[in-house]
Amino acid sequence: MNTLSYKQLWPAALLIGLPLMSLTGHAAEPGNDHAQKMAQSLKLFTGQVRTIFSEHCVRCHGGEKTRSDFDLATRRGLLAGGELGVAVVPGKPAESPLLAYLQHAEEPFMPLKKTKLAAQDIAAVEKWISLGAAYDAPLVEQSAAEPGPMQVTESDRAYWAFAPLKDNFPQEASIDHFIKAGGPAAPRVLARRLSFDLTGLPPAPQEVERFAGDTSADAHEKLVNQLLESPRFGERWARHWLDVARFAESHGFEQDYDRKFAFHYRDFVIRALNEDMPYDRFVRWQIAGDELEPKNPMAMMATGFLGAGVFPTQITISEAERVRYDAMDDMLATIGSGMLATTIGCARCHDHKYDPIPTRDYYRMLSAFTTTVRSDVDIDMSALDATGNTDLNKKIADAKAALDGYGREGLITAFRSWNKARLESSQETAKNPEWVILSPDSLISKGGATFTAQPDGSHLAGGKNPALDTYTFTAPAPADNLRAIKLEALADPSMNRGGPGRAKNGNIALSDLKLSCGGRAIKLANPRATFQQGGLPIAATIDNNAKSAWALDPQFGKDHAAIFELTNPSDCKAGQKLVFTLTFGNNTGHNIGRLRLSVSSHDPAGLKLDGKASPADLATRKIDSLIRSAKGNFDDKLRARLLELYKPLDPKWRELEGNLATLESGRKKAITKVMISSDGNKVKPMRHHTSSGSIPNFYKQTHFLKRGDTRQKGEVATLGFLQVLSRGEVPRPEKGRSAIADWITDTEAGAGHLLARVIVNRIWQHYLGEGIVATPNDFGLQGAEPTHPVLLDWLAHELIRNEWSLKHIHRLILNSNAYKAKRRPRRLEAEAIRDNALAVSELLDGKMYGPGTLSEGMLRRSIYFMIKRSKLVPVMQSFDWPDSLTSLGRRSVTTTSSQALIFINDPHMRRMAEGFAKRLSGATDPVTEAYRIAYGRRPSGEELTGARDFLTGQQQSHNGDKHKALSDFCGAIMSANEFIYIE
Amino acid sequence: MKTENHCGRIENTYTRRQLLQRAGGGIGMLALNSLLLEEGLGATIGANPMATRQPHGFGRAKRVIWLFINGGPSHVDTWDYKPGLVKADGKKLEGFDNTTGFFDKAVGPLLKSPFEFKQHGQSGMWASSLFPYLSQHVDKMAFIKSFHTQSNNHSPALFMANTGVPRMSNPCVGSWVTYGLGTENQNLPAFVVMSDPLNRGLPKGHAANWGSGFLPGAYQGTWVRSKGEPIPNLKRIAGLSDMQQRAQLNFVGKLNAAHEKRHPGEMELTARIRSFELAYRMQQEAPECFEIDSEPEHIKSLYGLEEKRCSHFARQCLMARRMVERGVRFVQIYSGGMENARSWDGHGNIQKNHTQFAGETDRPIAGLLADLEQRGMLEDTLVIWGGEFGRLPVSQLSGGKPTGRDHNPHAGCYWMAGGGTRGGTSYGETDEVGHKAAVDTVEIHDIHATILHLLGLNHEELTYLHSGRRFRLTDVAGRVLHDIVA
Repeated sequence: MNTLSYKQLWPAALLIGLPLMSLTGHAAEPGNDHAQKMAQSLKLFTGQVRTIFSEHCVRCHGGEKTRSDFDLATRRGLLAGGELGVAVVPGKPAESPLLAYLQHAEEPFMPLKKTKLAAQDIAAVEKWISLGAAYDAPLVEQSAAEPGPMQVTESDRAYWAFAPLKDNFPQEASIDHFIKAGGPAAPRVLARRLSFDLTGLPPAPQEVERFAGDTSADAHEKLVNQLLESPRFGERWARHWLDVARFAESHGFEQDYDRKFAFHYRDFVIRALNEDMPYDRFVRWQIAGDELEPKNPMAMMATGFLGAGVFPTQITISEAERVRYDAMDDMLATIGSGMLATTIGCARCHDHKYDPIPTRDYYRMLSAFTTTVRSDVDIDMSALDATGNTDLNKKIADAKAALDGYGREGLITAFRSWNKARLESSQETAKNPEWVILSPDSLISKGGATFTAQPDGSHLAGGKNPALDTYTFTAPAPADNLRAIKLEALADPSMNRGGPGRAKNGNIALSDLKLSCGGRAIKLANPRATFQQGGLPIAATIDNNAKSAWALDPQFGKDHAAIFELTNPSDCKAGQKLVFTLTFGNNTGHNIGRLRLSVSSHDPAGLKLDGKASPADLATRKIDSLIRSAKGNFDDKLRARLLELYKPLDPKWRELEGNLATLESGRKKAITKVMISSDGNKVKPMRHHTSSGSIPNFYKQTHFLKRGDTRQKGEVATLGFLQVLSRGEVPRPEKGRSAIADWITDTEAGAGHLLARVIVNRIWQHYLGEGIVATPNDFGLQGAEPTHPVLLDWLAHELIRNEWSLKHIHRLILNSNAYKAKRRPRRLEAEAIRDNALAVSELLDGKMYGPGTLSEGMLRRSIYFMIKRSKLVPVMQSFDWPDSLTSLGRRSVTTTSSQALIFINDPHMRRMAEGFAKRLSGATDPVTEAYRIAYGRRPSGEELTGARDFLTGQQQSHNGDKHKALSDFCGAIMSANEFIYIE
Repeated sequence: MKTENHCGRIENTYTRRQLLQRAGGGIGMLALNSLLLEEGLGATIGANPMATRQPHGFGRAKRVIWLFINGGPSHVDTWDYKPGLVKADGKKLEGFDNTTGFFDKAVGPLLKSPFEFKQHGQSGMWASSLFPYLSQHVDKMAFIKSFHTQSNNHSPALFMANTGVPRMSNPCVGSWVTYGLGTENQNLPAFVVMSDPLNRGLPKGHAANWGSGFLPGAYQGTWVRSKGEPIPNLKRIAGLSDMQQRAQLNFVGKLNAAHEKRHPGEMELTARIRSFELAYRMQQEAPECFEIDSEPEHIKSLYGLEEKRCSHFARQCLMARRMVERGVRFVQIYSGGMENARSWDGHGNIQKNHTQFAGETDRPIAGLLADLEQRGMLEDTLVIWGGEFGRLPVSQLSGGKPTGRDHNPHAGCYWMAGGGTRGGTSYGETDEVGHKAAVDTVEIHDIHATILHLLGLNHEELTYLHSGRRFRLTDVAGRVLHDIVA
């Protein structure tokens, strides 16, 4: 296991103080043999060096890409050097760093992250430089002298982080298969490790004893499961995510006003992790919960993510727009680093220097946040915290039990019979389609318009557009027993504003619709339309009033339809002549421009207006396709999936669910203010103290900016995604952030695979001390490469395959030999250090959720400290709390004397020592008890004697005060390394 | 003005190349190779982030005292004498953009300084009548009279001055310096900040002005109070004698020794054992550092400790001297609190405002310079005077009267003394009336580069890898002002 943690992952190139090239070297003065040497050099170039450069260097340093600003495609570029300074001094190989990079004598070793070149190749380059570094022609056509906009290529998409997950894993794939781990640590060590890792709290001494004595094969798994179910798990792991989310509860900057209701986001994270919310949903709601599920308090709380960043509250007019772009950048950059480990924010002023992210991708994504603002809104949180009426709560619990019970038992039977009936009736439907489009024997305009039949069965009006008109449409009835007709007025680019009417504004005004069959008038009833203009309803077409009419302003350029029921269907037989008379007597030229008529013999109540499938249809289709593709192989997972889809179609389920909903709605509403992020046009944006009232909260549009400068605006940016993480058609809902949410979780066409890689790496890092990728916030070219790429992909694959269950990944890791192996001690984080002390002193107040405080005397877990940017809680800050300004993937660990001063002199720490002493006061052997509580083990004989000696001496010097002596002892126990370092 | 570049890179590759090519040799690696610090990998030097480190090259200055003139001191009323402004008094400034300052609707005519300017010292440097004490020290000062910045608003400009970016995100100068050099006295904080003790608030942006940003938290400034307990947790808990605490710490030492034996070779564990010894010593020694009452009367008087209006600032200056004397690396003292009448933010009445704040600081700072000089410490202690921006030559109307001055991002003034600077010099000029920096203009990055240079640090080589980027205090800019370096 030692091979995994603390290994040298970082090439020294990434360390501090990268040497800048010496400038003392000058090109050799041309001597008499200059021309001769250059000729030799040229020969070497054409013979060997050109091939070496083309094969190993040009991919990154010439043509399409010039990483690190170094372009060796031409001699000029070679001599100009790059970000690291001079690369080659002609005639002086010893002063040419390029050579040192190739020789792996100096960082960065080249070719980057590839094997070293063959010795003879390096020798050739050296000789070539010594002779003068001649070129005969550029290495690539059109070298990047004037680079155009960055192109994202297939080779960019093939980079390990952006490529799709591998999926050809061996049958026996498991963490143990990928990693050979050393022997397991002792059970006591493991009990402590698991407890801190999963809950951030020490295990109870009796729990350690129990685990140490449990010899059953699944003892470890049982403890893992038990800890994963603890509500303390969410409190522990939420904090990891809050670092990533740069979460704080104040604006920062000038006044650093509090965001009093921002803590709900913290509570969302705790709850979501505790309930094992699928990670894709966890991400989607943080980006667009307000758009996706505005009625769900959790989804709304989640949007606090977007608004958690800093924001200046005192702005001058000249800064206002830049500040707004900064605020949007904060949202996008945090999504980039936090969710995709991609430094999208670096493409704000220029195409990304290292990763394939063009500036235009940046602004296209940024436009999704154009109207996104912070707002304090009232939300009914009763569904989250059932308080109050216990009777009602019981009824709710019963109703829930009934629903769950039916879900487990009755539902499957109901599904089977439903499915059987469905299959039978679908054969029927195939014979009898819902709508039959009528093909007319004649279609005549009284006013002289002409009609052209269209491939879709519609008829496009042309020619004259009379002021008032009547269309007569004649066709044979296709079947007996027609029960409904559908009239469609369709859009077409040939009309003003796209129609569907021929009026100047694109409108229609249909005043009457009459139908006869076989010469008998058929009465129409119950009309419904996709849209009706105010005062001009669809019902006006059958009211026998030639003046009243159905019209569509302002919904132009869209398809419209109306359905009418036939009141006496038996009067019409197949083959009889149907005559439709459409009168346009209401307004000048308001005639339908593209008409289609259909009839149906189905129950009119079930007919859809807009042709779009209902949710029920969609579910049925999905079920159908699942059953088909299963080809008779039904496993539990598929069954569960089918039942999940079927639930809303099952009457009994709906009834039980309705009962539950009714009861829940009777629960006392718990209206609470919550800070969310949402569309500034729909919610009241949080206003700030500004110099004038004229500064908008947001601007209508987001522009492409040159160099990120708001004074250099380009065109308006329309929504888009990172091209390098998009494959094929990515669906785009109208709402921008929902589109981002869809794309980022889309495992086919979007960024879903990278999303999964990034989160499994974070989990791995927190358990194993170091990620499979050591740079959790940057998987790009500047970041580290995965040490175990197949393992990373396998874990990501497991996550997606298990419906994004994070706890599944936790289990996989925790039950692996890699996790159980012996390890070096790691220091706990700030929260766990303080929570540990609170726990052993039994002062810990376990109250969950709600507003936090800045008071260091707080006895709740440290995650409930309020995070005020200008007043970070000193004890937390001292132990490397994040600055909460930008996303942080990994905290630093520093050891300072101010930390030691806290242990020695901080009154709060002393209070905990005293609490611990009080806890021990009844024990017959306080020393042993202290070791069991604080270290999870018994003291050795030597330790026992040492401690007793100390206690005796200290008690004497405190004039016999046993409690004081015991408190000093406890303070020492808590100050010692063993207390805050876990193995 | 350079356009803001979010990523710390500028578009013109040629320029960047040029900038980098000025970097000089690769000695940085050798000098700072003990600094293997990166995000999250602090553990590798967890041993002691504050260990003294050798700079890149030779630097005369070993420590810094930055007197932060908070709120925006008016250059045209302090050190930048503008005869052109006297002539143009009462006239309209043609072509002036009313949104330059903060109050675009209260722009008045040009306003000559209400203070009298005279030449002083052998160098003949100009100083206004605001500084009867400091004007006697102009031969020690190197003036920068062409400073300009990116924001016309306090907190972004404060962040610029302290961290090099107008946002709340990056480490400040003091953090970079202690990161680069460590400290000379482990028993005292390496980087100390003192703010206004008269309940006039903290500078805008508060602690972010002395935050360590993405650098490890160990490098953030320690906020020291000038009254009461200067540093938290320095006092032993009540009821515990030194002997009892010593016994307790010895016992902790025993526990740790046994633990270390089971985990040999762990640097972090060893470092933490040592941190307790350091803490104990700090507890013993630090209070002495802050005991200014022990200073002789003539020293107290030199700083103006008995003079009511400047007593508070005198205490802070004296504390600063005692701290640097004991090896504290970087001290920053803020003159003034928040905005308007609470700091040098003379919107309403420049005469009244600056008279007050110059009065609070003139004698203490002059005392500090004199005291450092007589102790032979000025030569390696860099003293800096300056704030976030200057003020406009046009007046700000207050109650209809042209008595105030608004923020001016286009011009401002700094001076440095000691620490290898060239006293009695002046660098750069503003235009005729002092509206904009005009000759040899200076950005904050240039000032930062110069501070680092004086300390022996190369601003292009002092870097920290964070989120995939190697960050610098000076971003991609910064130019050492060699003209003011001795």
